[in-house]
Amino acid sequence: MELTLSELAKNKQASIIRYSNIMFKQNTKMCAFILSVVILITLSFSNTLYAKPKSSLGLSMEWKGGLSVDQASSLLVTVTSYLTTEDLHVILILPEGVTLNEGKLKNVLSAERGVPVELEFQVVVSNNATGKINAQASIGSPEQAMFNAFTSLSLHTSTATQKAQARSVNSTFRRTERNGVSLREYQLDN
Amino acid sequence: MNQLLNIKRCVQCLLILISLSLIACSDDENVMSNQVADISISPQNLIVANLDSSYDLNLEAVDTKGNLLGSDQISQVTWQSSDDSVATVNALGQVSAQSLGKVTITAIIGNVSESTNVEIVLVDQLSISPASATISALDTTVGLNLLATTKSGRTIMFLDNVDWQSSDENVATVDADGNITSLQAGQVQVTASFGDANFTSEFTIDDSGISIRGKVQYEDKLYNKDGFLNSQQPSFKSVRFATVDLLDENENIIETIATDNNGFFFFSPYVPSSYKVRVLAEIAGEPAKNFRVMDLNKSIYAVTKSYNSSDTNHDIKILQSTKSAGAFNILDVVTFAAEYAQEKLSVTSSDLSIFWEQGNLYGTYYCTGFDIGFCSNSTGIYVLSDTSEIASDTDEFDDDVLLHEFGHYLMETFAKDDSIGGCHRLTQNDLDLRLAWSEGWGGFIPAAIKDWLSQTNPTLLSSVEAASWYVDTDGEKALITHDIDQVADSNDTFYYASNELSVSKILWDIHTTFSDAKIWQVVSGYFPSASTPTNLATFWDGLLESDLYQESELGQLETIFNGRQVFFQDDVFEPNLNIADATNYGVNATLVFQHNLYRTDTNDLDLDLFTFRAEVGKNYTIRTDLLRNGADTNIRILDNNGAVVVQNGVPLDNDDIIPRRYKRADPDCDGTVRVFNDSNSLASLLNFSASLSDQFYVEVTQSRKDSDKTDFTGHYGSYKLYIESE
Repeated sequence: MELTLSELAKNKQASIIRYSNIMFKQNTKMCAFILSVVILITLSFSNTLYAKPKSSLGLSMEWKGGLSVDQASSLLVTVTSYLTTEDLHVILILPEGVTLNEGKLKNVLSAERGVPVELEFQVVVSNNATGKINAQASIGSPEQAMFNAFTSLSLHTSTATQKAQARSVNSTFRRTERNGVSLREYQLDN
Repeated sequence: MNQLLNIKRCVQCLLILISLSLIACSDDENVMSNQVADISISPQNLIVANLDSSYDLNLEAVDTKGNLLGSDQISQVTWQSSDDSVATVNALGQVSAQSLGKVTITAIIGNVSESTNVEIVLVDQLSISPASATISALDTTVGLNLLATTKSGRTIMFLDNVDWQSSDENVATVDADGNITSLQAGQVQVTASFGDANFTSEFTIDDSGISIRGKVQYEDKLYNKDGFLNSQQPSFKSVRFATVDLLDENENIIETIATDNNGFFFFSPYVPSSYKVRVLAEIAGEPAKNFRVMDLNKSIYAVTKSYNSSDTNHDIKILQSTKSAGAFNILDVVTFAAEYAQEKLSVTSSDLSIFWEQGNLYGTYYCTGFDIGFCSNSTGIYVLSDTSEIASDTDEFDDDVLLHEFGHYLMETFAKDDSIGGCHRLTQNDLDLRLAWSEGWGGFIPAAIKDWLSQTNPTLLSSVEAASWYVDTDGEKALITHDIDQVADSNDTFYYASNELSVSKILWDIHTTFSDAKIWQVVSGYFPSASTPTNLATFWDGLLESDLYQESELGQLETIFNGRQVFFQDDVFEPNLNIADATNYGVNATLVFQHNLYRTDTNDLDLDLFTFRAEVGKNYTIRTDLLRNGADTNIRILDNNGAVVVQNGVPLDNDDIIPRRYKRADPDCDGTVRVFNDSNSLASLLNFSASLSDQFYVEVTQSRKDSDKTDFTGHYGSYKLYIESE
């Protein structure tokens, strides 16, 4: 098919328009993407997040060198106070089947602000021990303390059990809809 | 002789009489005090409606073996009133109201005593709840309550001493606890009497359908300052004002209503074979509009119970074991908080979403908008619920934490809050002043709301401590626990406008000394139009500008602020605005006073001028330190003519010793960058070598060089000036 000059010109124009449209659409997509990122960032920055007060006491506990059954294992408890104190209480609560080899269950020590204090305990975990080793720290005596911290180490590999429990908890509700609004509905039988 | 005999006889008679009286009196008393081991008075917390009313208190006593003693054995009772001008009590335990107020009535038997609280109120209006007048089924029991509105606008539910009467016991009976039971079709009048006051409500009984009435309650967790109470008796609270659906067997909605103030719902008569009642953790209308507790997928929590036509008991109890009780506690807390706001501000709180779900690890916070990391559901309160083995902190029953976040919602919605938010610890006394104010407000609001609740409806409280206690639990124990009424004096930790607990304490003291109505007038009236950011200094301005206080009360206010080392007032060296009034200053002085940058009589910002004699050739260091309450000093050295001294071509004028040191990473907050309003990050320093021996002047002002700093510092503040030479 032969085309006249004017038809060629029209075709070229059409092709330019098509090309422009494609570019425009691509640019629009790009602009929309950039715009949405900008909006997202703007929204994120314009938002204020009012958090509840943080405790002025941090506490963690871990096995140092791993846990050995029926042998002495080292337990490392780390306390960080964000308040200078000479009256930092750290208590270790052992379940049945766990005995203390070295260290004291009740400890009173001093701490510099923000400087972690490490306490090392040696315990023997028997083969039939279950439950948790609990640690509690407080600024001042636990009964009168303004700040407390708690942590625990589980003595059984319960991740699978926890997940199963979580699933069973989740399965007690169903999602329904009411006038276009989603509900998390629990069936009561009491 | 006769005289002697008479004296002897008299003495003998006297001895016999004394012995007899000792036997007569002491024996009985010993018997009584030995027998009575414990006594109890009922009712506890008696409310007496109207003056000239009287009520009989009941007293029971048990012996050391726990046996209940008969009335003949407890006859020697002493009754006492703590204030006879409010209520008197006679020897039989009958209380007579004299004037409005509260008293404590005490019964004493030997060494044992017991008290009860009595309040005299003036009842304006009585009503029976539920007020619906038709029971469309026979053999149906509905619990009724007698409510009273006092002259001061409080609603009181009478639990004791209410006498219930039915006008026709063939149609319906009413028992002593106010439960009406329908027996046959007809009309019946139910009268509830409380002392001399009574109210009558007419009920129509028919058998056209099943009466679907019941009460919704959730299982709450009570707590004290040490954590949750492991009570053997579960505590149930009403689910108030919540949306309730009646569903048919295909789960189509037949009717939607709301529970009343006491958790009762009352559907129109319905003739079904089976049906369901669904309660939503949502308040659609009053006292709050569109309050919803949702999971992180924005699904509203709801509970549903199935029934068939033979069921007569429709009460619903949401146990903690269903994992949804937490949602209804959250709803309950924000509901009474909204009622507080309604009373204080005459506004209806609306459109509040609360997001809670087990496994929400991010924390508890209030978001004002969308945030891709923390606030993916946009504006609302997000509630922590980390139930993992590592951390067990979950906040759905921590009423104080929930009220703290509701305080932020109130400030954002009905006042103004310029806080940038973020990490904060109670022990930080160098916070951005806007953050310290906002979080201090968040610490005050739980106490203010609980204090209000303890006077209006104490049964809604979950805390057994005084209102001023703040408790945040972790597991069953308290993680953070403190009393804002008794803030510890630990070094300089809980002081200044830059510490949140200090702000809470100041607001609480104003609340207890005056009232929180004045506080609300400042934050909702003054803050939105204030030219300075929302912080404690702006709040102080609002107190003065709003003309809320008498001149004589200003001293009390200053005492409250000074108690937290906040000095928004002239120091003793004022006025020292110009060279003629400059304060003489010693070089290397050992006693250095604190100075306050406040404002002049014409409300301009303050300027402090000090003069010292400099010797030619000597080097001097002039610096500020111990900056407090938002001070950001700027110092200049002036000559006798008030001109800034130029040294080596540079004017002696300094704002910050190290520019931008005030903004740095905070290791106490996971390394996030924040502003430090501490003692020296915004301090100033100049080194000066005098070219001649003469009097020179140090001018100290609040910095105006870097205007963006005025957002996080104050427009007032305190500092110390040091002029040192080697």
